[in-house]
Amino acid sequence: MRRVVKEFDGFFTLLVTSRDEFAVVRDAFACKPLVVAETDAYVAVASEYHALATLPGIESARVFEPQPEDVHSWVK
Amino acid sequence: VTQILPPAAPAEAPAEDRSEVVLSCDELSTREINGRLRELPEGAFVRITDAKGAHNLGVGLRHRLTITIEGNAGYYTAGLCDGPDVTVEGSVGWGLAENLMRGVVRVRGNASESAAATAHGGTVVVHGDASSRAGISLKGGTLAVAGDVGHMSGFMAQAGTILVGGDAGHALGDSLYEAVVYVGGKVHSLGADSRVEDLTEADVKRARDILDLAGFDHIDPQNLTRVASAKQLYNFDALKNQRY
Repeated sequence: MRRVVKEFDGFFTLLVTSRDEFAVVRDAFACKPLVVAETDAYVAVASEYHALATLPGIESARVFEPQPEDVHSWVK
Repeated sequence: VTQILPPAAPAEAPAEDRSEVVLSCDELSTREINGRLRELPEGAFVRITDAKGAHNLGVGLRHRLTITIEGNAGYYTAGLCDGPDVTVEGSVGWGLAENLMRGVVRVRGNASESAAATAHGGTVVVHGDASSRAGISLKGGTLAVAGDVGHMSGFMAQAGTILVGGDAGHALGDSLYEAVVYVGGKVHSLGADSRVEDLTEADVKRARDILDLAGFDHIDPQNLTRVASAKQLYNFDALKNQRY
């Protein structure tokens, strides 16, 4: 994922998945939105908080916007 | 920078001599809520409930209202306003108080990207952190952030003041014009044509006034970093000579 950030040109937010894990990253300018909600039970990502607002336990979730070029990954 | 959804500060209890109009986002569309807000008389108090990250709440208002939004709001909250006093008890999405002309917009949580973009006047207060491009193209308004701001904050800001209590991300104040940025914490890096300048007594007074207005008591106005334009890219002759 970190190599992708260096190779890709332009604005993007990437979500890459495999069977057991997934990862997200934003380009250096972070012009495309990304919001992550993390709980013990799930991780949810969306381009806007509105899409996450009715998830169970969202009130106590860790909700954050990833920093530019920071790779976040989770394993099931 | 942007852990959002901190515990919302308890709202002030409404005084007995003021009654609040309550508008629920569960019952009304955003268009209907903004229409109701426009019809309210000068000086009315309003509470918007069940926001759940709804976009465009309280936009285009040109009269004096006191609006409280419960929970988190979405993009462009209180955008294009000229007069109202808006408080969001949670966090907000992109474009908070964009192009504000007058009034105060206060966010108890955090703000996403481009808070107070192009604000000509008024005051935008963020009690948490603000994300990237805070105060981009500011045109005379004031932005006060208690916590950190993200990268490229103050980009091309033409007039007004940005005060950051915490740290500023990379490329702070890139291509600044006459706006001034004060930072209480660390500046990760300066943008093109911005520089650190000495803090004057006038700066300290200006910062103190903003801190009083914002209600921040964790920032020492005498211990701020002043960032302003180096004015090497300020005029178009720089463009002509291809010096950028």
